[in-house]
Amino acid sequence: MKLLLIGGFLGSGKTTFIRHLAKYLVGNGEQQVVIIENEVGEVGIDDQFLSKEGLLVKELFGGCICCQLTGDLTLTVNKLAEQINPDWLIVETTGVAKPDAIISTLTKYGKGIQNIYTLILADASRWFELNEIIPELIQSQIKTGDLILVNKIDEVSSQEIDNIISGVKDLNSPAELITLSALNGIEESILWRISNYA
Amino acid sequence: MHESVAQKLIIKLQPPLSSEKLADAVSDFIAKVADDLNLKGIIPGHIKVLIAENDVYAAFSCTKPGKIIKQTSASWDLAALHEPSFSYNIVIFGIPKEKVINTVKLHLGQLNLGALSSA
Repeated sequence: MKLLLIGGFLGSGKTTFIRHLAKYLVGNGEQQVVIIENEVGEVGIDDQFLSKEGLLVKELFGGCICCQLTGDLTLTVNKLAEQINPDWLIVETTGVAKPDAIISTLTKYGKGIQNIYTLILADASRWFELNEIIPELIQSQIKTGDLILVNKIDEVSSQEIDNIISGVKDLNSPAELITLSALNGIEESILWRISNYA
Repeated sequence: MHESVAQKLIIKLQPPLSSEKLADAVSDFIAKVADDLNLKGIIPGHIKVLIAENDVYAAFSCTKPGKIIKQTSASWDLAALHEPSFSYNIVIFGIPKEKVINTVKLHLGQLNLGALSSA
C-alpha cells in the first residue's frame, strides 16, 4: 500500500483536502482507501465528518502519533496492512504534529508500505501571523513535506501569495508546491498529479 | 503550548428545530468563542463543531473571527432536527487553558437550545 502522510497546522484544510483526494482515488479506478485520523482532544470532529462522507476511517485519539501514540500508530498501520492491505493509506496528523517523527516511526516499524509521501498544508490566510506566534512548529512542518499545498489562496492577495511561496521555498526548496483553495474544490488535474507523485 | 477542550453532547430539541435555526445558533456560539480566543486577529488553532443526526450533518470550522466555514450533507438544508449530537473540538495555542475552558463554558451556557446532555 502507498502511504500518504498529511500534515499542517490546525485548521489549515487537511480534512477538506483529504475528502477531495480520497473521493477522487475511490472514484477513479475503484481503489481502496483507508484513512487514519489522529486528533487532539477526547472527541474528534474530522473522523466523524469523513465517515459520514462515506469514507473508511480509523481513529487514534488521546495523544499525538508523532510522540505519545507511536506504538498505537504502528499497530494500526500493520493491522491494516495485514487485514485490508488497501491501495492507499492516508494518515492525517494532528495539527500540532511534527511529521518527521512519524516518518521515522513508520520507516522503522511499518509493514506493507511501498512508499511514504508527505504532503503539508500551509494556511495562506494565517501564514504571517502563525509564523510570528509559533514559528518553530510551522517551519518544522513545512520542512518535512515532499509536496507543500499552499491552501486558502482565495483569502489573500497575489502579492501575499508570492511572499508565502518565497517563504516556503526558503524553508524547503526541493519540495513540489501547489497553490489551491480546497474548500472551493480541487481541479482533477491537481488530484491526478498528487496521486502520481506518490 | 496548546490547550484543547472537546466534548460530545446530545441536544434534545422540543419542538424540533430547523437546520437553518440550529446553524445560526451554532455559528453564534462559534463567533463568540472566536472573538474571545484570538491572537493577532486569528485563531491560533481551530474551533470545530459537528452537528449530526443520522445522515443529516453540518461541520463548522473557524480559524479567524468573523469567518465560519460550514460543510453540510445534501439533506441538511431541509431538515428538522430532533435529537442531534453536538460535538466540539477547540484547540488553541498561546491562551491559558482556564480561559479556553471558561470561554467555552460561558458561551455554551448561552446556546439556549433545549436540554444538553453528555453523549
